[in-house]
Amino acid sequence: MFRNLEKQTYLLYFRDGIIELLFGCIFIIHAVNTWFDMEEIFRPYWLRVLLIPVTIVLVLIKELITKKRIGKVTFTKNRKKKNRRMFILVIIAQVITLIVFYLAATGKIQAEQKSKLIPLLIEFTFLVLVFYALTFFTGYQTFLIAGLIYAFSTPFLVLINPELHHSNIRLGIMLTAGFSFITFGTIRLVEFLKKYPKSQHDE
Amino acid sequence: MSNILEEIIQLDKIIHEPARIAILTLLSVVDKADFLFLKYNTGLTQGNLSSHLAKLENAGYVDIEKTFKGKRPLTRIQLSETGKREFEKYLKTLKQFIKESNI
Repeated sequence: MFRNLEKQTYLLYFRDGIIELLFGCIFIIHAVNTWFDMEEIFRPYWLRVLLIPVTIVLVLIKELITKKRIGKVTFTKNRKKKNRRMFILVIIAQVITLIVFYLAATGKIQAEQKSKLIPLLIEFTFLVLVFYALTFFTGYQTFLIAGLIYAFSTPFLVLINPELHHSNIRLGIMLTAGFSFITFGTIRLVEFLKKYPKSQHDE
Repeated sequence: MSNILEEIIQLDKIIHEPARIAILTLLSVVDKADFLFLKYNTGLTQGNLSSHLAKLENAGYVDIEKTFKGKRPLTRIQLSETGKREFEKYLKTLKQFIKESNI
């Protein structure tokens, strides 16, 4: 009963633009990484760690701004099950990514191997599938858009030409995507704050 | 047809009110919701929402839990088993009526 309404209620918590801001930051961090690599200044693997404080700040904003304004809801068991599956999927994806980074950093995956057809196709499919699954569980299309941009700007581009990995084209895609997501997220956040002023009364 | 008309006349008057239908619909898609959530999503004023919730609580259709978070009151509302059953019965009757009326 009321499946659509349940989905709309769940999606209400995405109206604040926080997810877009998070993806924006991810793309900007990747763009900066690409730029450092291109300029051969240094290999700043630690720059990716910046994602942790950025995520924490955005989660705090969600707790302190979003939930204070539109109230809190405990979802049904079915939705909780979907959220749990989504969480497990994200953790698995993170672990696999960390393993690949570790293997690359310790030289166990050679640079030539990274540009081979099969690993790139696996990376592309993996990215698209993970983000498609996130969209499937949440019903929020932004996940798929971000996933496709990332999949096409990294493994797909290298598949066409390995030189493009450290190129202005990739940098341009990352920067455009990053600033677009940040702009869209900021607009959504401002609209959200206007639409839902902070309640002075009962919660 | 006459049978369904009898059922329509006997529709639950506690439920059969736009604001209360909206509240029950929202509560039927979540496990628990707080007062603020219902207020924003139904568009009702604080006083109006309180009065409708009180009617639903008196009928045993919702369970209301009042606590404090610091100095601020925190009200959480949940559809009771009776409320769930009666709301489903209400919707079924309406569906049947629409079906038989051939609208």
